[in-house]
Amino acid sequence: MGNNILEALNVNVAGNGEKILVLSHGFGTDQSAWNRVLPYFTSSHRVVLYDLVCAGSVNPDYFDFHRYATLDGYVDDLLQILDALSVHKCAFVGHSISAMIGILASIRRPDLFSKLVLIGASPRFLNDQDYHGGFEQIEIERLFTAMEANYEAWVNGFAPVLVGADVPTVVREFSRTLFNMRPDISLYVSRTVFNSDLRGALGLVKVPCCIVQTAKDVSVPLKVAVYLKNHLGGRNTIEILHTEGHLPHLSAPQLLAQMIRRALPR
Amino acid sequence: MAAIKRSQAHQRRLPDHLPLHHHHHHHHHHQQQQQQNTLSSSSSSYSSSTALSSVKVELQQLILSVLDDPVVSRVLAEAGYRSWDIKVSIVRPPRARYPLFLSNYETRPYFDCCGRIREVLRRSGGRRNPVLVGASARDAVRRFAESELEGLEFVSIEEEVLGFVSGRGRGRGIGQGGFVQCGSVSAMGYVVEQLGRLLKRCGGKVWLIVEAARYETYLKFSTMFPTVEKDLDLHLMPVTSFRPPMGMGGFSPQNYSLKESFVPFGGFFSSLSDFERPFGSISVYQSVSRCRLCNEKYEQELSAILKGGYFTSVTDQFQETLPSWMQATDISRNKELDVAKLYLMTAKKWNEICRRLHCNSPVPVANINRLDSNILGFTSVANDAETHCRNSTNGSPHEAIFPAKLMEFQKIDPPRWNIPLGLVSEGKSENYPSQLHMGTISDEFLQKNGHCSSTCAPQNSRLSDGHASPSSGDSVTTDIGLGLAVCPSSIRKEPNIRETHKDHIQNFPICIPTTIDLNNEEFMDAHAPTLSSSCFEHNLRGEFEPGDFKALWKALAEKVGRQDQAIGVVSRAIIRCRTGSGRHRGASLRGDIWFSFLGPDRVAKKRLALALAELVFGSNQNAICIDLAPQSGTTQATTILGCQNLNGYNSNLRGKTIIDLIAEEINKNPVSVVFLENVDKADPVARKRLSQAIKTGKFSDSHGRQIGINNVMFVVTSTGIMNGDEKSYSNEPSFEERILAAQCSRLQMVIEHVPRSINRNYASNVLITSRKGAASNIFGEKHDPSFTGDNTGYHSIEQQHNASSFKCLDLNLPMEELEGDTMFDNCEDWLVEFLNQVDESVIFEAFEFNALTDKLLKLISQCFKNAAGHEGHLEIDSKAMEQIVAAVWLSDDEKVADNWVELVLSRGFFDAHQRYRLSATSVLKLVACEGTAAIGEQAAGICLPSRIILN
Repeated sequence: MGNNILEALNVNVAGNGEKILVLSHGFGTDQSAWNRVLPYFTSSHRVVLYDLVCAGSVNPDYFDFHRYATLDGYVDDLLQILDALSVHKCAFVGHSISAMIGILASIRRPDLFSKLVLIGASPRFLNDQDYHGGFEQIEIERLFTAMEANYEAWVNGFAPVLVGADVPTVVREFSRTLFNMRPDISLYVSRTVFNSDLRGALGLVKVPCCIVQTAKDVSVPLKVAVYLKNHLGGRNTIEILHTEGHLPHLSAPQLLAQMIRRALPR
Repeated sequence: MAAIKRSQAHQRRLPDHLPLHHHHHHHHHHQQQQQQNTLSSSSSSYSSSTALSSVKVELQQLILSVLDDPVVSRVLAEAGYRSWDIKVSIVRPPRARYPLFLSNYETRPYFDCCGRIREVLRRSGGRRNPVLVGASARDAVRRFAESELEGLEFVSIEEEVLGFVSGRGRGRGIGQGGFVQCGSVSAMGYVVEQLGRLLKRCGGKVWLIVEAARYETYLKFSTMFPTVEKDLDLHLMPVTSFRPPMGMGGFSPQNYSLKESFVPFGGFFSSLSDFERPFGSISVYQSVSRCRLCNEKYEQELSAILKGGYFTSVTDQFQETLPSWMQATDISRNKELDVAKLYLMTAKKWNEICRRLHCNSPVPVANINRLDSNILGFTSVANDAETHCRNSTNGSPHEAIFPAKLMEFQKIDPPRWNIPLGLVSEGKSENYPSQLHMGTISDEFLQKNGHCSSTCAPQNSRLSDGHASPSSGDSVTTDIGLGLAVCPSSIRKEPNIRETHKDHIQNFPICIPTTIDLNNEEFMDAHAPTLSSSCFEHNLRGEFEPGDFKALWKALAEKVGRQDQAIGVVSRAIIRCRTGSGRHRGASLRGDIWFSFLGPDRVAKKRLALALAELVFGSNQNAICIDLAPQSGTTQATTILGCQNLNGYNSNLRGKTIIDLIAEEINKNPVSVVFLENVDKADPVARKRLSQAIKTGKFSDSHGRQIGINNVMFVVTSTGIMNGDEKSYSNEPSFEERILAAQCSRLQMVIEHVPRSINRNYASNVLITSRKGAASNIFGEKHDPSFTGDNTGYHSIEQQHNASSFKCLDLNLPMEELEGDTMFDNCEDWLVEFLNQVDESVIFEAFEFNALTDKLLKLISQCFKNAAGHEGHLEIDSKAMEQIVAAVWLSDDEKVADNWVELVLSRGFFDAHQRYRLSATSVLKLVACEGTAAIGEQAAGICLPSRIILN
């Protein structure tokens, strides 16, 4: 039932170009996050949009706590969607968790991807001996406790921090989508993300990657981007966006869109 | 009967449907005979073959042709199904049983990397030895070693290899049937060679797990031994999760026993010698996944195998229903195969048989109630039934289970499954045609007699004079015995009623659960008050007297309290639409009415919508209020607006789009006012659906299910105004938005002493101040005669706006990229087009905030004088004032506001005066405590604090 996943994850295809571009949203948003970026690509690409199963816009019943215990479940979803749409080659733009998903998907099916654009990507969020991921275990535990205690309060506090840039509408929008997620799913997903470590596998990626990093991102230090560039197996570039926050597609859509447009052919 | 004939024709027309089951045509015959038997049990001439051919219809075809009926498909569409979908799912049944659940897409387990390792190990072809790459690969191997090694030995040769490589060679035999863990991949060629030899020698009984912390290490290794990947059958897999997320937090998934899923693997490993172990483990397995009967059969077969007896099994009878891998009839002849493998095959086969035939897999009861799963549920029943028919006619031992399984279904939802079950199983299929028959009769009956006597609710009798009453539908359906409640369309005018009947009666034989679902008693509940309540509703349905318009206007105006002009327009439009001079879309008169409320005063709009719900539809419970603006997130919860629960649907929105929410609400309450705020800010999908709805009279949700909106009054609002002739649209930022943004916080009084030397020019003793200086004071200079509430602060905003739009016009950027933003400008075109289609656009006047502020100030000033005498001065912070104004504006009754000032504020003044002895030099400041989200105790009827903090 290939079509079911298309329905369940609200897959949309927009635009009428020859090349295919997949936009995959990150944690706490849904595909609407791409709304302001989308118009820049519809004339040149067929753009595939979908919701991650954890998104608030997806029926929470679909979220199988077994299946999505690791990122592999999400990777399966992505590959199933692309297969269901019979996509043979596509460029992939992934934000935060989706960037990780894209990396793993490209390891499993290197032929399927022509380019990965990784926005706010991190192979591992926790610090390690000689690796600076940006978070300490204690901080994370505190974050989880806060989420569990009062989800709404956490959303209201967390959204402005993550958005970074002082754009109230974006904060509102992000809070909305974040709040739409069922709290337990939200917590579970963040655990999955924070428990992931892709560092060892980066070398398996042969697809050229473009690592997009904003000048200041609370969740991904600049060092991480450099680490990604040095360890990913393909040809890689880093693009620094002169804006702040973890959600450039919401806070600086034009800037980001132009950057991706430039990066895609290379 | 017509349907049966049609399906016969269909069968003849499309013989290519048959080859699908061609090879078991024989069983078909049986099935058809049985069906024939049940269908024509009234006619006794069944034994002759000519009589047979006349009604030989396959169940599938019958369903298909019933679905082909245009009336049926229309009803289905009304209920939210596309009959095409149903047909597809009948013709091509879904492979998975409940395919809607992602978790059922594939049954392989997803825990952590262990599941994936197992998957690789289980491969029969090459590349079955995993190389785990990742920082946590070592952990993963350890976890794997600890977890599930039923009958396997895990041998780590890490130390040995390291020792060997570093020169301290030491031999050690490696037992059969074990893992060989090879430590960090930096061993020498000899090791690799030996390992290769070992793997080859032991055939499929030794697996190699290799682990590397990072890909670079592995890369080094594989460049040293370029053929190693092939030689050792290595399969690269990234390990990304360094900790399983389960077992943490309060809601980890239940501890899944790894045995259940992995025991076959254990069996796989076992050699001939250890007979008992796999048997034991398999029995764990079987108890989970097979029903009792199949289990018995399975054990029978198994014991036969154990005795060494040859494999002549019952399964042959099921050959045709089994997938190819299960059709291995000659398992027994294949003597090289391990007995253990036989176990497995048998177990697997019986599991499959059991699953297929007895639907043993757990049925998600909760979810079967959902509309969309019903289709699939339905299909699976049909399929199951088919399979059963085939098998049970076959004289197989499984006939016995048949009713049991049906019981199971009945348990899920008796009323829904009754009919399909009756059809297939109990031989009561004569019900079926007779129902059809009855349907036609009662239909004719209806058409002859304009109306029939009402048997149910007394209030209906009032309505039934002169024209066919809605209750007539009731009596007919009751005759049929399904117990349909009043259908939603019964409110429609007279000509429609008959049509609806027909729909329902036609609808009925197909037994799609939803039709019942839609008309269940839940609806009855929602509907009952409507019938009994207002006189308007009675009038609106029938003929109108000239007085109605005025009466409606008056009643509405009474409820709203202002905006008389707008209310006049609305009531006139309602009368117009309901009397039939409204719009005819296509041939028929449509029951849905569309209004757009434009301009300011959001509160009055909402109040009018609620009043309409109450007066036209009986109760203000029949109003569905949804804000289409995307930013209606949680952030508004602290504003007065949020406090008033105007946006109380936020958590409803979780897990669905706004469109689905609207659709769901309409479904719940098909006779209502749908009040959609901020239509100008709707997202593209919502826009599309709304346009579609206004054109077609059907509202479709994001899954394409359509919902009739014949009894729905849509009210869309926008703060912008359509400019008369030009049909253009303009939207100006207003004072109102600021008021709406007012925070709902505690109020506090602060005392300040001002030296006499500073000359403060107080025209009165009450003043509104702003913390950031006068410029941003939205109340402006109170005593400036040119002050108008609407314009203050507006110019600066406009200038800003222009400045930013100029910034975008950077000539260095290619034009193409600037085009991007046009997508969002399309919104305006759409809105103009959409607003031109509504039945009536109503423009609201701005609320007189100015007057209200003046009035309040006067009142407050009076109170202050009463409390503190003429000496002191009062300064009200603009934030506090905004809050008070907003609360008064939102409150239903202005008297409540007066009460609040007189009680709460006065008391505050008194307290302050008593404590501080206000003099001419002291200024009492009323400020809002920002940052405190909670208002504390609320005063009755108004969103203001019941006590003022004195500081």
